[in-house]
Amino acid sequence: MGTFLATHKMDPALIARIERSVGSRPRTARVKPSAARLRASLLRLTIAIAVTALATTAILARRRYHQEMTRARASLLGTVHAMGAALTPEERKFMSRVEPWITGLAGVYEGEIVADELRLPYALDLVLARPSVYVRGPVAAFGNANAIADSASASTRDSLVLCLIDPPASRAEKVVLSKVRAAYGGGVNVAQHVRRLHDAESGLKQILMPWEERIRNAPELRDLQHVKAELAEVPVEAMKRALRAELLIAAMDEPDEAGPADLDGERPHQVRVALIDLPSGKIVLRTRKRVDPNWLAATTRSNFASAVDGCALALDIRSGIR
Amino acid sequence: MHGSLGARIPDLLHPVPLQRIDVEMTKIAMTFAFASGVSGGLFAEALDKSTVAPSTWEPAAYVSDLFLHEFVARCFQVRLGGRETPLFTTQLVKVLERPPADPAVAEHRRAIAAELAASPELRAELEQLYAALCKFRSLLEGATAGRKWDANRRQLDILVVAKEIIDRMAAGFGGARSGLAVLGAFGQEVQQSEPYRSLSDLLRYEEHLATVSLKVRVGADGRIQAFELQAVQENAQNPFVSSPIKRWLARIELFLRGYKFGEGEIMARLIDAVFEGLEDDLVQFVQLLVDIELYLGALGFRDMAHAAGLAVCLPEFVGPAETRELSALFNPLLLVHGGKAVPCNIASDRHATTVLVTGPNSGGKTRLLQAIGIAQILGQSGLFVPARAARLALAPGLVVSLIQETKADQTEGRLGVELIRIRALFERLPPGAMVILDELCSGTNPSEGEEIFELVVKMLTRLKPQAFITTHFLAFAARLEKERKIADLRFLQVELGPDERPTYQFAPGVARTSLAGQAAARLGVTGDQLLSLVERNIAQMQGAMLNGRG
Repeated sequence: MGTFLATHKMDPALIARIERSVGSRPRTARVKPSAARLRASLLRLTIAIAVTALATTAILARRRYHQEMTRARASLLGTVHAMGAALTPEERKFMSRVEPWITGLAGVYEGEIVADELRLPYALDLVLARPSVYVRGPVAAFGNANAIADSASASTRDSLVLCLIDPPASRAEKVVLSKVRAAYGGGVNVAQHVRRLHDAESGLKQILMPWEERIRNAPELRDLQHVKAELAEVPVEAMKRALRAELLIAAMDEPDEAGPADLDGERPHQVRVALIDLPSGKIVLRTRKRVDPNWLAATTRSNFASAVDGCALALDIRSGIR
Repeated sequence: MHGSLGARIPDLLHPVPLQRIDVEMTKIAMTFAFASGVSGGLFAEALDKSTVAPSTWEPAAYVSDLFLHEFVARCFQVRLGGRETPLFTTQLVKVLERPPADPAVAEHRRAIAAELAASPELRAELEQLYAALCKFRSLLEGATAGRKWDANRRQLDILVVAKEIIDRMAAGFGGARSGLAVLGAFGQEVQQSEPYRSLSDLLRYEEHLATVSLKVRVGADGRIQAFELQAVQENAQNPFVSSPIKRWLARIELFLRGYKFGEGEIMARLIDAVFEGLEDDLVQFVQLLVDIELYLGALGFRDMAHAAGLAVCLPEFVGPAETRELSALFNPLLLVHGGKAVPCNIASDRHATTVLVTGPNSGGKTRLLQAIGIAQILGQSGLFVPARAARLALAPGLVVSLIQETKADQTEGRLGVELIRIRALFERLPPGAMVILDELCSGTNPSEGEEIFELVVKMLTRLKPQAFITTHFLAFAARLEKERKIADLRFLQVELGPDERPTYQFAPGVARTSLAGQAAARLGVTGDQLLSLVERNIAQMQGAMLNGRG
């Protein structure tokens, strides 16, 4: 066992004596190291080993942490790249294609349009069977992209779209109400191919966020875990299904007429409805109908005025086309 | 006798080097002293337990009677830088009181003493070497308080002096023709060894780790405006020089091994390692110090005699049948006490003679006997004897009886003590030894004392001694001289001057008077002098009585 006090230029005999002097080589019997020095040496050695072990553990833990971060970052970047790669350039511009139609419909009503091909038997059913996105809201809430986004987030597949696709057998209150209850009660969902415009708008907004920058700049693992959780929240499938829509179904409620409102806020008012063939950029249907819950019995109106109006509106549109 | 253990021994006292100290014990003491700076008298302790060359002499038979310790303490003087240096007197007496049995040893010492006396340069070298050894001892034993707070500095100072000693030995005595050459051989041998090279490297490392070249810019006002470091050059050739990183690692290593965490601890370990390598050689300095003191002390005695107008010499040793002579012999104890030493000449035709010395009281007989005894001791020890020229015969022993002190527990009267003294003499006296007796059988009436005296002399002659005996039995001595019954008997008497006063010279024959009357007159013991004292005392007594009544 050598010593750092020795150099290669020293005589071996001198090195041996230096080693004896520092205690790395046994001394002659006449000069033994003191017990106090041995104790101090053992204590310091123990402390040194403990400190080294702690330092090594800390370094290894830090290294493992960094490796884990690298792996997590690479995984997230892979996810983000995969999400980005799943979108075509056309899909990325989906909202910019849709928004002009919506803002146009929200402007001055330009009259009714019914495409000729829609007048054929079952033509409307065929059109409505195509992948679609649906949005409904107050006509004043579609002024710009942000307003459209807000309206889309509040819009759900209501009785209008359900009854448009699967109309009740008659306009009798009992029949319409039964259809509405069946639709809202989770019966056979005939509008699976109709996605909320919100799915497309929200999905695109989230998927086009600067994920890569956030991932690369995340200083700690917990930041990456937050990003991962947020990415998991991105409704990729719903968005992709919405982006595959070929038909835009838009409904806009004009301001209510004067008079008392029902419990769900329903009042008589005009509703604009449009069907836009997105691939061809053609208005298939644009119509304006009045809804009025006054024809309903008082007990039905108190609870289902809005839903029944929607379903009735769907029947009116269908009958208007014929 | 301690073994040499194959070590180099710079022994100045013996032709075949002799390890006279316990090397192992002394090394332990030296290591402790080097480490702690407190030795408890390492040199004195080691020398107290030291041995001397084999001797047939019994110190108890003569040391106290010859005042040997006082002689060494007062006459063996070494002056360094104008100041007298305290010597290891006890150790020097130990050497002198046991003259070596082997004549070659005395001859070896005589050659060294002669060369030193003849060569002032060699003596100066030896004195400087002695001064360095004293400094080494002083530093090692912690006698110097300065710098004691810095253990490394103190140890380095010791190593510096050790190197100076080795260098002086190697350089100063290479040309010596006597046994002094052993110093040169020792020094050169050590210089070629690894521990010495390490010592030199360490001292160079300590004083020259690196060279820093600076450029200093001085302003118009004479003040230094700036320093510019031009170069730093480490003394890379030195084996002790290592990189700064390695020095740091060494500090950490030492810390983990239980030492202090500091640059000083590294130096301490290196010093320790270098010192360990030199221990076998440094321990030899202990007995060397006394060896040198013996010769420088003898030279000091020579200087003292010269200063008093006296001469000393290295005696010639002759065979038993040859004439013995001591020319201008003086008693060195007289120099010590400030007395005037009058040299005298003593001669006898051969070794085995018994010389009866007669003469007046205070005629110098006892002083003569002391001088003869001291000369024999110094001569057989190989040193200068108190005589201008001397031809001595080797004696296998010495018995001296000069002083008869009365002791409180003495059970015998004066005659009884005298007889015990004679009995003891024969018990310890080997054949051929030197015998010195003062006033034999003076404790009884002359007629009976003379019978015992004659018996003693006759018996002594059978042991063939060289004997010197003083007596006041003048008639008896005259009869012996006249009868010539004892063949080996010789007679010396104190010479008297024209005024009947002793000249302190000695001539053949028996004195006619002890001049007791002269001595009595000199010391105020004549009838008139004693009568006047008696009358004075009576008058004082009467005066006191009258005053008491008044």
